[in-house]
Amino acid sequence: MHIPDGYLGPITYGSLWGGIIPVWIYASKKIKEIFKASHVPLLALSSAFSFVIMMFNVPIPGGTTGHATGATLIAILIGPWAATLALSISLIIQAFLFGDGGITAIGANCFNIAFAGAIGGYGIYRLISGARGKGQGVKTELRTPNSELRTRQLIGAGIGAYVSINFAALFAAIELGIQPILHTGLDGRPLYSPFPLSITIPSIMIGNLLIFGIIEAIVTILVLIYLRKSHPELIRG
Amino acid sequence: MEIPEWLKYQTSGYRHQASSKKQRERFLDKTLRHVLSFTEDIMFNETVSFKRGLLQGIEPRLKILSLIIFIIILSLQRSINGMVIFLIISLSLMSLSRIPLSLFLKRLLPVFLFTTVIAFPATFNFIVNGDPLLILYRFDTSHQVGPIEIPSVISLTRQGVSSALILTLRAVTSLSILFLITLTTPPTMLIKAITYFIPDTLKSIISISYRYIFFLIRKLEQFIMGIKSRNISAVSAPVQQRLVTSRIGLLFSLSLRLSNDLERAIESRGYNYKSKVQSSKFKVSELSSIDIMWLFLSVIFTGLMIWKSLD
Repeated sequence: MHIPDGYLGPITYGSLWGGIIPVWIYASKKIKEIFKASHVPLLALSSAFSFVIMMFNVPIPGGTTGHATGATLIAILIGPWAATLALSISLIIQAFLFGDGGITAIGANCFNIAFAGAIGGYGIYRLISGARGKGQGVKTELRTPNSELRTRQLIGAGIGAYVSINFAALFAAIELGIQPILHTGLDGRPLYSPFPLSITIPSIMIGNLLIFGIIEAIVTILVLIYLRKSHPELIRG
Repeated sequence: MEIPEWLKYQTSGYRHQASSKKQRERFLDKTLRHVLSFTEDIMFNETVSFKRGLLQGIEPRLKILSLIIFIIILSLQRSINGMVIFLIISLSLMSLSRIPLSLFLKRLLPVFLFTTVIAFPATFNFIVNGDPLLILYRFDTSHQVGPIEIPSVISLTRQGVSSALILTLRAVTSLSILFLITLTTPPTMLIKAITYFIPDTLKSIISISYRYIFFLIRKLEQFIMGIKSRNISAVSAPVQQRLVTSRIGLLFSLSLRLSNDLERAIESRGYNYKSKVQSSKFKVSELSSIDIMWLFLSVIFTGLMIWKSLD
């Protein structure tokens, strides 16, 4: 899902840098409004946490593996805008230090995973669970004693997580698939990712729809169940 | 001490279960080990960055900025020649910076293999149509396989081969330039240099996050090893899934606690995230003769390659 350097042309990666910078500015303003105390350690540790989640593979039937992005989980626990920033920082560190995801593609990867993934997944969660609040996560709602509501929240979190990773994958597939339309040489050779949308969308989406989306949903639900049972103090009211 | 009776017997069912679960356990261990060693290697291996080489001697901010500009200019190149020039420059800088070729290739090999596998189908005419280079097979009629239309004549095309080469060269060369940065700059200096160009608050977030990544990975390993050390036999997949996810939950709770502790520690020391304690001013007057030479050559090279990309 991390797009490396060389796969996207300057029009696409430039536009996505242009798209993500205003998101970062808006997210910074929102979290300053929401968190009264300094948000720096929270964002830093959430970012380190998401880094670890993305590196940690979970075994799935058939001998293969998948990793979660944790976008919806982090959005539910610390709020969608804080999650967008935390995930972006994690992706930037991955790109610079580990070469995981390209330098020119940082804007694209942050837009897909940190913005579309976190905001999309959180939006679906809110829609299904009927959670209220002003974006500081849904800690209050998760503590509800109403079991029917709690079940709906867990279902919402699971579907949100499933949709979140698929949102991110769909954006990546579209960005890669439009390269042959945007950038070709005089003799018709593609200059960046050579595969058209008719190939990128099914080839990227099948794995995410059938495997990684399910992993993301299971991880999100099980982590929320665990936190509610074992660390209710973290689910602040 | 006598061996307990239950340890002397082994049921056929248990043996079967153990062998079938062995692979999964091995896989989990392997993933953890790989993540740890990879992170440790990137974050703490300073053997190359402390050698006396060309890039190690250049002011880190100048070096990082110029090499990132190289990556951007490389992304504008439209010909294989342009990318080969960048690859030659990258390999020359590797040699002048005394980076062992084996280490460089070891880092680049996974990306080379990955991109080659991804790019290979583009050489066929059912992905990139064009002038046939080599006809591989003839069908009676064309076929439709999912979203792909397979033509009656399967061939490698000139445009397809060229496109696959461009993709592979661009991806591998970009990464080789990035590795020039990471291998020749001590990690802590790298973080300082990168964060020099961004606002102070963001600088603090990245610095703290970077410092805790390895700590959290190590903690996760300890959590999982803790579970494994308390289990005598392999656990079923659902149980394993629950154990792994509960450890992720525990890791999140640990992260939040750490962030609270850190916040209190920072407050008690009167730090306000805007102090200039981590960075020194970038002064042109303090640049060495090597820095000025590097700057001069970089500007000329960048200008030439921009001009070439417009061809």
